[in-house]
Amino acid sequence: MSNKSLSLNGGGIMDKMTKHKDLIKVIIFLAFIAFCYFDSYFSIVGIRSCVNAMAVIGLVLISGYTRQIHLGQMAFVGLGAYTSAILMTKLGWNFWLTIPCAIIVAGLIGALLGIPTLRLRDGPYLALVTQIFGEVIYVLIINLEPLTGGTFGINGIPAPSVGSVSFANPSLLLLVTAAFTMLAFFVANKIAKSKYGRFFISIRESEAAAQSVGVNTMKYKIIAFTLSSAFAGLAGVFYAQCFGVINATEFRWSFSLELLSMAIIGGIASLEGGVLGAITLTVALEMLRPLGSAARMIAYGVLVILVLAFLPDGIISLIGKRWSEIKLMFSDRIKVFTDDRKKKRPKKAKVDA
Amino acid sequence: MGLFILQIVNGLVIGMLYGLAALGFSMIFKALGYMNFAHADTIMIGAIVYYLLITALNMPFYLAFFLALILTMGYGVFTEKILFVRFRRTSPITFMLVAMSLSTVVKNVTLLLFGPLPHGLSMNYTDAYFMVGGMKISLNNFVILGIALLILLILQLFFTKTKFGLSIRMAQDDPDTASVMGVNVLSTRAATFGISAGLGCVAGMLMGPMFSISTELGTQISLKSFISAVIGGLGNFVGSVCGGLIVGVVESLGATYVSSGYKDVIVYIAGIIVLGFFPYGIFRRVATKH
Repeated sequence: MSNKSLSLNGGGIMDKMTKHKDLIKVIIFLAFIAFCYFDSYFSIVGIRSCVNAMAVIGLVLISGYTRQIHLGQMAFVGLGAYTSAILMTKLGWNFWLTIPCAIIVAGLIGALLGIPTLRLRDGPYLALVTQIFGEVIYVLIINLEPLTGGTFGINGIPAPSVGSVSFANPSLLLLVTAAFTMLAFFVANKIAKSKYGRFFISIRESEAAAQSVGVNTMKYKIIAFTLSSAFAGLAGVFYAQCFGVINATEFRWSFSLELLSMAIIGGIASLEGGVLGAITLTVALEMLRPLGSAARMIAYGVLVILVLAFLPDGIISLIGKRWSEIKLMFSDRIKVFTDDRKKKRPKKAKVDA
Repeated sequence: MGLFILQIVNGLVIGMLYGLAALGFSMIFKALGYMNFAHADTIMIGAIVYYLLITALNMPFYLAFFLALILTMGYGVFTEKILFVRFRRTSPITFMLVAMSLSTVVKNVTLLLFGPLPHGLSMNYTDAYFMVGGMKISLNNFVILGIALLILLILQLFFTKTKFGLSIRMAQDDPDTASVMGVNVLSTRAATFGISAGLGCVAGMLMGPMFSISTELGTQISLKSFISAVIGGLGNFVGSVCGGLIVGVVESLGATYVSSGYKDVIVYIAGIIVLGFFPYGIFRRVATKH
């Protein structure tokens, strides 16, 4: 039971979701966007939530569905952001054309990174490699100064426009970002429910069993990683638009950890959980901003540990359950963490670990 | 020629310290099969405690060294007893995330207590130097190497000559058999965490005067010590130290002869390549019991 702490009822929740509930989810999301639309400060918060949601959707595919821990998602967001920003400022490309470019660049680099790394069956290799990769990207951005502006970053990224309508206003940009987030969720949901999603889940549940029934686990892990990187690239395009300024330090690994924490707290086993985590935490942490970034990160860390200990499926697993069910769930988890301490063992046989 | 020798010496010294940190990391991996991402904190805590003891309390460095070592080992045991022991039946991934979250918490608590400014600790064990090919090579480097080797020697004696050391090694190899033989696996686990934290602390204390002491110290070193551990093969102790030496020499030669801006990238990319093609380290081609 405790061995599967990241993977309980992701599939189960989705099977239970009826069309009715899908509609409720869309309405809740649109209500959130509408709430943000009328205030220019909240519009920026809304854009950040959507950007994080897109990146977390990618993360759920690789870390939630195939359960390969990915610690460099923000580096891929950075790749997307820099691709888009460089194409727009240096080459004067149209914003809409940079979207596929950013997706392709991030996805391609993800595939190149995934091929040597994901060949290994088990072990923590992807976590290490992606963490290292994040630092590689950071150092490269700092050093490739003519292209990326080095430590100064890229300023004055032009806003997207259609004809004469410019989306420079945050509220309008929010609508575009929200539309793309919904599109990304829709695509990811289709993937998750297709045979690919089933293959990903089979890798999560048992890689050996998946191999024994003929699933090419390496191939599907690489596909999941590439898709995850592509979603991060898409998020990066809008990240660059959010403030119109990007800087290398925004893509370092502590921010990747932030994205992973969002996914875990929301519920990494399902896409809905990831999006819920991304939105609630972005907004909550925006409210906590006066406390300073150190307190914010402490709150993150403590929350993640508590969620991992007591709520391994994230806050999404609380939704739609009765109070008695929730109480039962918690008492189960508490038992897992405390039973061996209460048990008095005979003195001679210290069996443990 | 002189420059080359100087860089080799610098690389060996810094590599030795990467190796010490990597050894602590590798030790936990061998004992638990988990990656302890919170290991980087012990490097930072060691350096900061050492700095505070020397500057704020005006202690002589050898006293500060032992006190900081004991405090950090205590911290290692404390994290195991409070937190990690409760996650010992979870999947490696959950453990990894718990360790990373702990690391985030500890780093930011330290940031609040110690402040974000980096502090310099100018401390030389000796001012003597000798000339090779027109380059000054400080004897200080060799003192640091000597301290590191002494620590490794003590550790080796502890693991081969004392009963508790032997039982720790036994529990690392096979916890189930060890517990049947009467080894208290929970206490050897705690001891492993303590020793691992102590190694990180020594690396941090020796490294502190070379870099600036700040809460970022652990992050800077941890990635390279992870790479060292992986190059040497995770769980292979001699390999970890050798891996550290290789990383140190490559880094320092890369900084001199290729580009100082890209020295980290060289090490990182070499690390990714080694991970991709030699997942069990460069000294082994297949998974074996070490």
